[in-house]
Amino acid sequence: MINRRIYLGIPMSSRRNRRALVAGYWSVSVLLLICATILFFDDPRFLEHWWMAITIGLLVGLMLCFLGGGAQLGPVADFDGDPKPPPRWALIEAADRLIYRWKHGEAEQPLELNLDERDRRLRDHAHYRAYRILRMILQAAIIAGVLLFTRPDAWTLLRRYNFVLVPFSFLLILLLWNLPQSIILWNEPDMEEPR
Amino acid sequence: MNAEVVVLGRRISMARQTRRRTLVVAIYTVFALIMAIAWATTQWRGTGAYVIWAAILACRYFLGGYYAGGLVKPFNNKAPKEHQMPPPLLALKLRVYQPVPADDDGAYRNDERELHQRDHAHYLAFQAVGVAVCVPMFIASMRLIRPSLMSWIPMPPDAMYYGLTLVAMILFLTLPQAILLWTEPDMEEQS
Repeated sequence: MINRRIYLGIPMSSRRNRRALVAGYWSVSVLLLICATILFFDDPRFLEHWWMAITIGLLVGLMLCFLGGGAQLGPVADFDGDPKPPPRWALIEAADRLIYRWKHGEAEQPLELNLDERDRRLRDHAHYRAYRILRMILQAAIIAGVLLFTRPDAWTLLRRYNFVLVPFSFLLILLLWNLPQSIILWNEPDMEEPR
Repeated sequence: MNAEVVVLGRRISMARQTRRRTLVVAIYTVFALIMAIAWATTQWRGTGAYVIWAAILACRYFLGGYYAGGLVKPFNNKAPKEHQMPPPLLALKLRVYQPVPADDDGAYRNDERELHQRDHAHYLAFQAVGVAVCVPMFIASMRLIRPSLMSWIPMPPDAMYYGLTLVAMILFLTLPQAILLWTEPDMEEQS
């Protein structure tokens, strides 16, 4: 399920490194969300500034692609089994190959990118586990929503608490698009190094 | 997967795929009707939550999966806890219940094939729910960047986001079970 031996200079064969990558990714994501909440989300019209819209769009796009899975930037293989990496990430691929050669003194052996039966089961099970986690979050959100919408001033309250809703929505989208990948990276055992 | 449901005291066989597909279509039609009626009467103010309750009831009595009742076996592979309390009034009035399973909890356990189907249904549902959650965010962003793009929609923006969020929640609660019911072949053929 892991489609590269090295990613952004970090060896992906070791589970410890992959767990560090996942922990780092979520720490940075939450930190960015907190910063954005403090700086921008209090203003409900923050996206009207074109530079803000572009920055947030690029950042969200990068966060969604970072671990792979649906997009092939990250270390998790494409969930649909498409073995061809798109050319737009060629620069990162080339840099990682150079780092691998520098560390190991030989060219990186390409990994098998087609998903076999075990990979598909792993992918499906990771999605099931992610679904259960999101279900718990949704149950809490439903209770909060039911309590909120029994009030006649619900819409006014929603506008007033825009700085809570917007980061929660971003976090939900990040969870939806990256939780299965995180589970796969976290649980996959150490890979064998080529001899 | 269970082969029958009991509604109004009648056992209805769900062994055939066409019946299960009809049930799925009927359930989503009811959701659409409830949303339309709630919009027409109160613009979902205070009534939007009824759709969520309807989804929970549909899971509890027809779809199953995350609940002990319904056609799909419990996803967590465990027998339901035994309650000393009587069944809910609604179930008694509608006479909706599950046939009593065997004395052990084997009737609730998924075999290897069913576990794979469960996981794959969640994989498929995850993609759809991911898109459904992104749609309100995308529309909200477009409205902020270019308000004129959304001016033709005859609905207040907040109500539109709320409605789309309700749709995403319904899909989240029901889609894996619906996919399983939709794709499982006729049970007679399998045996």
